[in-house]
Amino acid sequence: MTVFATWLKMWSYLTTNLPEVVRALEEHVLLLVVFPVAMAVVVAVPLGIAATRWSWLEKPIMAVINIIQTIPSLALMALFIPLGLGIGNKPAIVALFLYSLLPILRNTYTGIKGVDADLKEAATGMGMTEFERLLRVELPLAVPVIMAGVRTATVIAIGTATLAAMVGGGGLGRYIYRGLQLMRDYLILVGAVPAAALALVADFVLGHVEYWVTPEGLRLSREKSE
Amino acid sequence: MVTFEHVTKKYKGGTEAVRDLNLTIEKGQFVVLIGPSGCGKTTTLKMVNRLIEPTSGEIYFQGQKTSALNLVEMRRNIGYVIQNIGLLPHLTVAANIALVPELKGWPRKKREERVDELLSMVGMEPSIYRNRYPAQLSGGQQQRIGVLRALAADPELILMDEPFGALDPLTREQLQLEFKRLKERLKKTIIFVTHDMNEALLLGDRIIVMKDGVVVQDDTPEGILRHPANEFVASFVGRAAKPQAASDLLVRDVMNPAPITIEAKRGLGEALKRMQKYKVDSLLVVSDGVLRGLVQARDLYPHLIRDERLPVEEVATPPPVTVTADMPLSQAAVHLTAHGHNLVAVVSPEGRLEGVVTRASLVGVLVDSLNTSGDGGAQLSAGGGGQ
Repeated sequence: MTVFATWLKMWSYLTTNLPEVVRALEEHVLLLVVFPVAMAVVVAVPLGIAATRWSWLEKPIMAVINIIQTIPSLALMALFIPLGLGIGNKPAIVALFLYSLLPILRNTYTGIKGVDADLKEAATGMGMTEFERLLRVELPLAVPVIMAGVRTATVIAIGTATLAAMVGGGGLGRYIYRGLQLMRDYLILVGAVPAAALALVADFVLGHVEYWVTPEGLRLSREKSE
Repeated sequence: MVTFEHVTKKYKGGTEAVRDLNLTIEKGQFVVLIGPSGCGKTTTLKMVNRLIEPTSGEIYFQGQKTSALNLVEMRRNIGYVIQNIGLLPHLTVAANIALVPELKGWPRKKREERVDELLSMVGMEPSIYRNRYPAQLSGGQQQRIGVLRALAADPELILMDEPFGALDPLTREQLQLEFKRLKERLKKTIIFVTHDMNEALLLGDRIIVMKDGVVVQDDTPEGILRHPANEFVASFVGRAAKPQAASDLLVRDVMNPAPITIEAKRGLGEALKRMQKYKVDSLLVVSDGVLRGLVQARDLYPHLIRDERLPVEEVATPPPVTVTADMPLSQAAVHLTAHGHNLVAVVSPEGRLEGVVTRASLVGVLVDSLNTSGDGGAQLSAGGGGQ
């Protein structure tokens, strides 16, 4: 019965404070997810490509990224506070950006490395330059894999971003954090339910994007081999 | 066109794939490199377009050292067909074929015309196939596109690395025959790698047999067949030419794939001329490749006096006994021996005429099976014989 009451309270809070919750949601999505993930794409995709071209780069890049991934996310955010970023959204954004690098970089690398060696040889043998081969053969064939990395990074970031409130940042985590401090269950739900829904929706939508960005011919050849 | 001068390729670990190779390939020649796996034939091929760099020695393309040429430029002027087809799955048939012309910067219109011209050349209707993706084609069609892609920019030299190796036997045979006709029309210089001696004998003007990185014999197909340089070549030829045990043979193995036929609408006079020309006494009547019946010389004469333009279909008898190509030969043999038919037509499930088995075919098989213990030099010719 009390559980039901908590949900009712959450609902009434949501409806009476809708503009404020929507603002928190916007902040969560745009500032704490889309922005850091987009920056991660800008950095990780070229880095991943570079690692496929110069094999000596692969080990150091992966080592650094793996270390970052091993650091607990809250600790990573907290580490940036004394490093001149102070409290607020900034340390959270930097941590979320670093966190998103790994899935995107790894998928870019494996996606490009995974292109059939015969295709690469055919492309070179026909007289494509290194750059033409990358642009016309390897990247189009790796796009679905890279996109899958972006999807993973996004879903992880949506969850991790709820921790931003702990370092003084915003987003939906603020309700969870406040709810915990004030021991108000319904406030926790005001943050947790939209965050969970957001992750599910993002996963679903990006799954479709993954399908759309797969070149038609490639989709057909996959369907055939299944 | 291509000259190898003291070319050696050593791989890491010291294996010598090619040892001191000297070779000159003339313009317009169809050269087949053949040998068991690991003999260096593919390495030799790939050293021409520098996918593999020779360890020492020099290769010349059109009189110039390939080491001094612009690699990308040179490769665009050499057609290249690989074993596993290598069509780009995300590009349409047209885009795949037009790849090198596009890299060379041909205008769109010229590229499109070239694609249509090439597709028509192999009997693939451009309006149907142009916009398909490789995944929507059969293996045979894919490799046809693979060959067309190498021809697209009209290169002087074409390199082919076991192009038909990945196909099923039936499709392979069909493509080999098609390609044989094509290469006679194109008059290109072609270097072709295979491990299949039958393929080498069918296509090559010159066959270079390799073993352990050196050339064992460099000769015409006749020379290879008649005067194998040593045991190794002889066994290689022998394996290709040796017929199977008669009990395992299928109709396909012995049928004559090009029986003498006549179109159903043609006149009796023409039928008679064909019989005289090919020295046969019966013709298979077809229309659009589908078997309609059989016309025999003795059916011809009574009508011939009255109207020599009477269509043959008027006097043809219903199709004789038919079999399909994948039946055991014994089934066809029963019709020929026990039931006294002169010939058994081989048709596809759709009724298209694919060949004919005659008594002479059976005798051919018999003779070959008696000769298997002898030298392997005899060519498999069981399919011959008059109808």
